[in-house]
Amino acid sequence: MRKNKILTLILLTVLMLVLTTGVFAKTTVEYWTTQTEENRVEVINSLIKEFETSHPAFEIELVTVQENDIPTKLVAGMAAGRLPEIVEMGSEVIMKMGAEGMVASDEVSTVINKIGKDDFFMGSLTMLSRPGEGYFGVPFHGWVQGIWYRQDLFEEKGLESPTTWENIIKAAEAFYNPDQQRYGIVIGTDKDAYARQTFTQYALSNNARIFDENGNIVFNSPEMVETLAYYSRLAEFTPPGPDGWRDARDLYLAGRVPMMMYSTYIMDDIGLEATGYKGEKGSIIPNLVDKTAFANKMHKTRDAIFGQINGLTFIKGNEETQMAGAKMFAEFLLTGDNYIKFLHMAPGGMNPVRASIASDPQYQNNKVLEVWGEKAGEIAAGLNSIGKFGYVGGKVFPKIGDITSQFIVGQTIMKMTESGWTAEEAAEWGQKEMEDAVE
Amino acid sequence: MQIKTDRDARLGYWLILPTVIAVSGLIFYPIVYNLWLSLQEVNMNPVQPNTFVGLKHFTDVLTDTDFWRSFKTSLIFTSTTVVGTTLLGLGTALLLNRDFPGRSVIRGVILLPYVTPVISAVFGWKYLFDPVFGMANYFLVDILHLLPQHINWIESPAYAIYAVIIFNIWKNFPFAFLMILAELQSISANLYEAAEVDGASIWQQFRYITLPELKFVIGALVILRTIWNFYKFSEVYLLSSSVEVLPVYIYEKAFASYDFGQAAAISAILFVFVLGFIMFYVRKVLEW
Amino acid sequence: MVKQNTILKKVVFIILLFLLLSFVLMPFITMLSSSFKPDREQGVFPPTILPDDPTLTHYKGVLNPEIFPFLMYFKNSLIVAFLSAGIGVVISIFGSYSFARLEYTGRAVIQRGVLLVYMFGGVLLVIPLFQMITKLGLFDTRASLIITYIVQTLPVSLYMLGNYFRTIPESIEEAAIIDGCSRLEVIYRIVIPLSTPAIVSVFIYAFMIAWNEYLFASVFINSSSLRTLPIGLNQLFYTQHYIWGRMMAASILTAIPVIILFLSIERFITSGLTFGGVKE
Repeated sequence: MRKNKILTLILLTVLMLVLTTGVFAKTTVEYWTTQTEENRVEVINSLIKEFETSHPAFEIELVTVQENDIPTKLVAGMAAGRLPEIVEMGSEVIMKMGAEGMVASDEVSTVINKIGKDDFFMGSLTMLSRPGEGYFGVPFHGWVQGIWYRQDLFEEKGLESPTTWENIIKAAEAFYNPDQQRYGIVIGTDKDAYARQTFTQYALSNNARIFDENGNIVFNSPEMVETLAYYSRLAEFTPPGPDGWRDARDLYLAGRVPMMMYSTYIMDDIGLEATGYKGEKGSIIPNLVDKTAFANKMHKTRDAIFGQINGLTFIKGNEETQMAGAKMFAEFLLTGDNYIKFLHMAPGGMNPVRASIASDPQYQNNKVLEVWGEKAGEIAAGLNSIGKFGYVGGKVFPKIGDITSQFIVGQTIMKMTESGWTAEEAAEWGQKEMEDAVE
Repeated sequence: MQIKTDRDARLGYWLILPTVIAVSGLIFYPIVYNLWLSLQEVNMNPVQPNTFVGLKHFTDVLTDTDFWRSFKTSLIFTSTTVVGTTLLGLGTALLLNRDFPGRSVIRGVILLPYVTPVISAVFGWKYLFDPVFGMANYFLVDILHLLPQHINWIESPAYAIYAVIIFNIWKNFPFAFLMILAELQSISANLYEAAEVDGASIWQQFRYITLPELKFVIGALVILRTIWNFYKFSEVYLLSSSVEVLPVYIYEKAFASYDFGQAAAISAILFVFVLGFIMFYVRKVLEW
Repeated sequence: MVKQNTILKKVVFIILLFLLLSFVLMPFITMLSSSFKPDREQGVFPPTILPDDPTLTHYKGVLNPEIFPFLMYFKNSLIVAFLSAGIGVVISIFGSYSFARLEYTGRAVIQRGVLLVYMFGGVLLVIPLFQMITKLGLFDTRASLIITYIVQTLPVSLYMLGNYFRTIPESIEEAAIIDGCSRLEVIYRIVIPLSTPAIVSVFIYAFMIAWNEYLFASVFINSSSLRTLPIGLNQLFYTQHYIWGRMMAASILTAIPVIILFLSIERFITSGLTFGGVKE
C-alpha cells in the first residue's frame, strides 16, 4: 500500500517536474540541506554559482531545512508533490528514507566509486550502508560529541578528566553552586534531539540499547534503567529547568559551567573567542581554547563515542537529466577546493570523511583549526568509531527514525527530571511509547 | 432617495460580490471542508483519495488523555488571561482617567505591547525569563528572595504556563484599557458631582456609577477575549512549546504527526465548544 | 489635612504609574539594552540594564546580508503585507459602500454573515486551507499568504469603513448624482477623498496583521527565499548561530515599522469609533 502511494507520488513528481522544467531551458536540481545558518548558506550559494558556471545546463535550487523539521518537511514535500533530487542529511534520516524505498541507491554507489571508495573512512561508509543492499548515502562530513571541560579548573580542584561515569558526577557535584549561578554540567534534559544525543553516549557506554539484535525494543533493560537513573542524578547538577544546546553553549562560554556536552561545532565558538578576546571586563573567559579539553570517549562498562555522519543522497524517481545533475553536483561538492571550502564553513565542526582531504595541508590551513592545533586531529579521529542506537552488531534499524522524530528519549528524561518519576517508571513509559511509535 | 433603486441594487450586488466570494471561499467553505476532513483518514498526498472513517477520529480524540490534558490547559490559559487582561485594563483605565502632564504620551506607551509584533516581543520575554541571565529570576530570587532558586520559566513544563499567561496579559491588556478608557470618558462628570454631594465614598461611586456604565463594554471585552484566546496560537507557541493549549495541539497533530483527519476533528470540537460558550454567555450572562 | 491627602494620593498615583510602566516597558528595555551589548556582556550576572560598553555590531550584523538575511525577510514581509492590505482595501471600499449606501434584498444577511467570521480563529482554518492551497498548486507561493490575509482582515475593514462612510452626509452624494454622476463616480470623486483618514487606517491595520502573522506563513511557505520576518526570525533562533544581541536587534527592527504606523493612526483607532472593529 505504502509502496503504491510512493510510486504514484514519484510519478506525479516526475510529471510535475517535466511540466515545470519544460518551461526553462535549464534543468533544475533541488538541493535540500540542513545547513540553515546564513553564513553557511552564503558559502553554499557561492559553491552553487561556481557549479552553475562550470555546468551551464543545470540550475541548483537550494532549500534549507531545520534539523528538527526534517521529518515534517519531507512529509510536507511529499504532500505537496515536491521532493528534492539531492539532500544532505543525518545518516538516520537517510537510512529511514532508504528503508522506505525513496533512495536511488545505485546512483549513490556510482558516486562513491567514482570518487574512490577507498578514500572514504570505513566508519562513515558503514553508517550509510545496509548489508546486502548497498549504500543509501554518500558520506559527506561528520561531527563527534563529547564533554568539553575546563582543564584549568579541573586541575585546580584536583579532579580527574570526565571520561568515566564516576569522574563526571564527582566533578559536577564539586562545581555545583546554584547560589552563585554556577552549575556542574549541561546535558540535554528537554524534548529535543540534543537530549537524545547526549543521553545516547551514556547508554552506549553502559551497553544499553534501544534495539536488540533481532530488532526488538529493549528500552526497559536493566542497563537502560541504570543509565536513566544515573542520568537523572547527574541532571541535578545542571542549570534550572529543561536544558538544551543553547544553554550548554551560552553557559560554557560565559564561564558558568566547567563541563558541557556538545558536538565539535563548538570548536568554532571557543576558538574564535580565543582570537577575538581583548581582555576587557566581561564574562567571556580569556584564552578559553587553551583551558578547554575534550573528552570524546566515555566509559562505564565499555568505551563509547557518539557522533553523526551527514551524507548526500538522491531521491528515487526523478528525471534522468536531473539525476545526472544531482550526481555531478554531489561529486563537485566532495572534490578538492570545493570540499575544503565547504568544510571550512564550520571548522572543526564539519570533519572530512575522505582521508586524502583530512591530511591535505590546505584543509589544515584555517584559523580555528590552527588554534586547536593537534587537538583537532585527535577529535576528528573519533569519527571512525562512533556508535548509535540504530546500529547494533552490524545491523541497521531504520525504525529508530520513528523514535527520534517524536523525541521519546528526551520525553523519558523529562519524566524523571521534571515530574519526579523513577528510572523504572520512566523506562517502562519509554518502552511503551517506542513500541507504539514503530508500529 | 427613491431614484434608480433597481440599478442601485444591482450595483450593490456587484460591489459586495468580491467580499462574498472571498469570505465564502476562504472561510465558510474551509470550515465545512474541515468537518468533512474530520470524517476521513486524510492521505498525506492531497491528490490521492482519502478514506472515509466516520466518527472514528471523534471517538479517538474524546478518549485520548492527551486531548483532555490539552483541553484543561486551554481552559486555565483562557480563563486566567481573560480575567487578567480585563482587570489590568480596568485598573489602568481608572488610573489614567484623569488629567496629568504627559498623559497622551503615557497612553501611547501603554499601547506598545499590543502593537509590537509577537515575534519581537517573544524574544524580549525569552531573554527576560532566561534561567541564568534573565532579569526576572534576578529580581525574584536574588533581590526580593521570593523564590528559593532560579527557574527555567520558558522551558519547564511546570512553570511555562505562568510565563505564557503573564506574556498574554502583558500583550493584550492595552486593548481592554483602550476600550474601557473610551467608555469612562463618556460618563458624565455630573453623576460623580451629585454623588459626592450625597456623601458617597469613592468605592460607592465606583460600584454604583462607574461599574454599571461599564457593564456593556466589559461584557463585550470578556467574550471577545475568550474567543480570541481559545484560538490563540502564535503567542503561546512562539514563547514556549511546552504549553500545549488546544491550538498548539492541533498544529502539532496536523503538521508534526501529519494526522490531518484527527486534527480536523479536534478543530471541530474546539469550534463547537467555543460556539456553545458564546451562546451560553450571551443568553445567561449578558442577558441580551 | 486636605493637602496631605492630595499629596498622599499623588504619591500613590506615581507609584502605581511607575509599577505599571515598568511592567509594560521591561521587555522593551531588555531588548534595547541587549541589542547594544557586546557578546561578552550578555552573560554577565547580575544583568546590566545599561550596556557598559555599547556597540552597534549587532545592528550592523542584522543589516549585512552576508551574515543575516534580515533584509530579504523584510522585503518579503513588505511585499506580502503591502499587497494584501492594498487589495483588501479596494475590496472593502466597494463592499462597505455597498453595505452603507445601497439597498438590496439579502444585504442584512450578508452583513451578518461577514460578522460571523469573528467566530473562526486562524487555527480552525489552517488545516482545510493547507489542503486547498496545495491542491490549487499555491503551496510555497506568496499568493497563498496574500489571499489568506485579505480574507482575515476583510470583516474589520468592512466594519471600519462602513461606519465611516455613514458619517458622510448623504446630501453631498445626492447632489452629485443629480449633477449626473454615476454611483461609481460618486465613490471615486466624493467618498474616497472624504474618507482618506479611514482608508489609510484600514490599510495600516491590514498591513500590521499581515506583517505579524505567523501560523499561515509557517505552514504555507517552504522556500527560504519567501520567508517573512516572523518565520525567518523564529527559524534563526533555533540555529547554532543565533546570537542574543543580534536576535534583539532584529526584533527591534521588525517592530519599529509597525509601531510607527500604529502611532500615526492611534487617534483614529482610539476615538472609539471602531469598538468591536478589531479582530485578532
